[in-house]
Amino acid sequence: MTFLTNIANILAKYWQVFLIQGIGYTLLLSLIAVAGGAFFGSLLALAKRSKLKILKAIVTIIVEVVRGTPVLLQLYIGVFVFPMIIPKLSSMPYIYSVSIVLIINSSAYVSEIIRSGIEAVDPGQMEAARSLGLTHTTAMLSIVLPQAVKNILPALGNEFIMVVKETSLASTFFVGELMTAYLKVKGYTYLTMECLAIVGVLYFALTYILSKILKSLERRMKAHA
Amino acid sequence: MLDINNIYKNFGDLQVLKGVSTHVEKGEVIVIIGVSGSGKSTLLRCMNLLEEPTFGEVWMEGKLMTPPDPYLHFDVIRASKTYQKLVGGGLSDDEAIRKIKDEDLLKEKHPKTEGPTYAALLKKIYDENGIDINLGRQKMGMVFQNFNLFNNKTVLENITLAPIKIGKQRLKDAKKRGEAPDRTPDDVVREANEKAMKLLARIGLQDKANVYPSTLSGGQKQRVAIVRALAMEPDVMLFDEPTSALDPEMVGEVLDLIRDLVKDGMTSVIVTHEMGFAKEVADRVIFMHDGVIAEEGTPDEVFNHPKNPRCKEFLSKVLY
Amino acid sequence: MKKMSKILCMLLSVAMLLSLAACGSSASTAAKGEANLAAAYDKYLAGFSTNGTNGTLTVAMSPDFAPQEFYDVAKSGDDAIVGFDVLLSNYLAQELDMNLVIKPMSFDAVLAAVQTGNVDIGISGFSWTYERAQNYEISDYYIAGDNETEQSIICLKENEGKFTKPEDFVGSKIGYQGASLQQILVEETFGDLDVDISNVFSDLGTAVEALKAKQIDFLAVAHGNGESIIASANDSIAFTGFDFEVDEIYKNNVCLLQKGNTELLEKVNAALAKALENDYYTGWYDACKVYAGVSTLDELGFDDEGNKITE
Repeated sequence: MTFLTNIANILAKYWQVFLIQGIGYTLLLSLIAVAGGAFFGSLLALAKRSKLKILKAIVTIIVEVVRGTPVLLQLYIGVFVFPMIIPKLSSMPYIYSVSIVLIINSSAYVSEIIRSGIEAVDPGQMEAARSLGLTHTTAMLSIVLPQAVKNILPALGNEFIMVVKETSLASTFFVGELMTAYLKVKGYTYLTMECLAIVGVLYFALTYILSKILKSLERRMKAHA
Repeated sequence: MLDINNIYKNFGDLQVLKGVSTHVEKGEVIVIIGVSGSGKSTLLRCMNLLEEPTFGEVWMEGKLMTPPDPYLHFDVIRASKTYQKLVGGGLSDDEAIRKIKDEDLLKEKHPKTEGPTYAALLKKIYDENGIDINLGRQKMGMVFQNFNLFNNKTVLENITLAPIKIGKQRLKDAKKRGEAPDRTPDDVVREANEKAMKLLARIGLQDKANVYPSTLSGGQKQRVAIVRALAMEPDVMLFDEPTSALDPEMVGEVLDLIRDLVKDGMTSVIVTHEMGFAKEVADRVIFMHDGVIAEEGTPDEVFNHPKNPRCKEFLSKVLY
Repeated sequence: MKKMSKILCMLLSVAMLLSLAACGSSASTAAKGEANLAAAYDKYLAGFSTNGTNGTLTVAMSPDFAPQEFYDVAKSGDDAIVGFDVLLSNYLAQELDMNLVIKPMSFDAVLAAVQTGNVDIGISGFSWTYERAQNYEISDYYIAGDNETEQSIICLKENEGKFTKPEDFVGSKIGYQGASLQQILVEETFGDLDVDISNVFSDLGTAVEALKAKQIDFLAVAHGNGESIIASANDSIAFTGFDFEVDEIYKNNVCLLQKGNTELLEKVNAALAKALENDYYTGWYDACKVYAGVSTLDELGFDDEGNKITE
């Protein structure tokens, strides 16, 4: 019972930290990461399909390194090494470096999603378009990509949900998302389990609602195909 | 109309075509037969460069679609440093050329290393004769075994996509030259739609104009694919096993349509396993074996009096 | 459509929860007695001033450690980070005539931030250790009240006061935070005895949960932290009555600077010496204890407005 009473007391006192700042920053960071990831990920996917072997090799290395190392480590590098390269970053709040890292991380994953989405489209579609005399670009834009999007969007939705959870690591630098909210409140109250329970329920609610929304979007898209 | 010269095609270490040359006349119907893996489909796909030949040239209506093949041009060979070295070493012109061809001595991937005259000659040949691949392909309609209708487009859009995209581009170019002042992009779209509906009427599928391909039967898909190619008003049609993926009861409707086209004088190259159909429509039959043309002639010559033992064996298995 | 309305229902219920929580909070912030927790602290903080002539002083700390450094969620932005080390940072900024920027991060990250030069100083309740002295410039000591001078062991309420000498702990499990002063003390004190000292925790909060769940019998903490823990645990936890004998070098806290940054180190040491001489620390620390809810203003000799009552 004390456990529930404690939770109620914490929520009554600190609801803003969890519900407004915590969820707000978690969603903001996730959106930035996935939107930026979608943009730069597309560029990476394009570069990976390019005929320039050097470009292809560089992109492959970036993607593999980013996917092969923990996000936490990347955050440390982003926060402490990026400012050495870009001096302007050192005078800015950590959330900027953290956002950049999350975008880079998500770009690597999204580029793979896009690449496999494009490769999943029957190569016959491209051949048919080329055999009619359409250029590669036109064939890509009007035939392959619209079909690839149907493979890509659901996977992108999953990536978004993954990122929502991964933003928790940004709490190492107290950027304000849900896990930071946990650190702030338990640092004062020393009620660790209670705060964790609150944050856990919120994370679950967030990802559950998001996945429901994505599922219904998916269904609608299928209805139009 | 369509010339293919000494086509080689390698997939990695696998040699699929080993020097195929043939010529397609206007109005001619050529049927290519042979066992699976003999290179028939690859040959057809090399004709419109869906597969890029490793060596050799494809000429469409007097225009070169592939990069020039130095081995096919004696003057180019003679301009190369390799040739001069060989002749300087005491070989005759004839011997040097044969040695270069047999032993694949030209460094054709790096034209500069064979000297400036050599590089300049190759460039000159392409500048004078070369044609944009897309332009060449617009003159060749291709029909695939698996139909390859665009899944994200309706039947009508499948047919009008290329005419509209390319028509608009052509109109833009014409306007730049100061031609066709009264034509608008809307005209292009309207004409493409009218023509597509006429083509659909021809195959009796007007009522399917606005459905997606996934709702069509195999035979219907293939007939739509054929008129999609026809909508570009090609000079030659390439059929890559058009009935192989169909249920038996649908083969007839597709062959009927091809038969109609051929009767109207459409130049066609057909890869097929339908021997009866081949006999009926072909002006010339090509039997491919192991990457080369093993037998070639009229249907009567090939089907009734084959000379090549491989061809005899093949026919004895498929004709009964 | 049915599914969509289900989702709508869910969103609505979340919104309702939010508004309920909102009602609850407006009531609690208005509650009497809480408003002046920060009174003494704010007085001290307001006393600092700087012109910022010498640029910016960036300080890294890990604000999940009341009363040393923690968040006051009622405040916003940089002001929300409060505690003893924040007062010290403000004092240093004043003495060095620099503008203060506090960068919050996890305890491990503070070390990385100092080492890479990302920040000028790490002030986060650091104790002196031999290893740290090798890799960082270390300032002179400052005294964070009794937080470091007294190192204690806490336990569940039922064991309160029963353990007073090291031998009493034989056969039990003692937990502590990794890489902390407590680790050194526990190893020095119990290393030779039959005591399970393998229970390392990455943060104090988790360790407290382990104590509550009886996964460990005892937890070594700084006395000030122990008071905070006991205050928020509804008195289910208490001091054992055992205090460590703390070596002089461990008793106080130090600031960490990047190796080689001796210029700043000298200025910081000069400021620290002045603070020690004038005995600023006790007042600051008492104010923070009140702020963290460990003691009341009255107990520590403040009036209701937060002024220290001097005899």
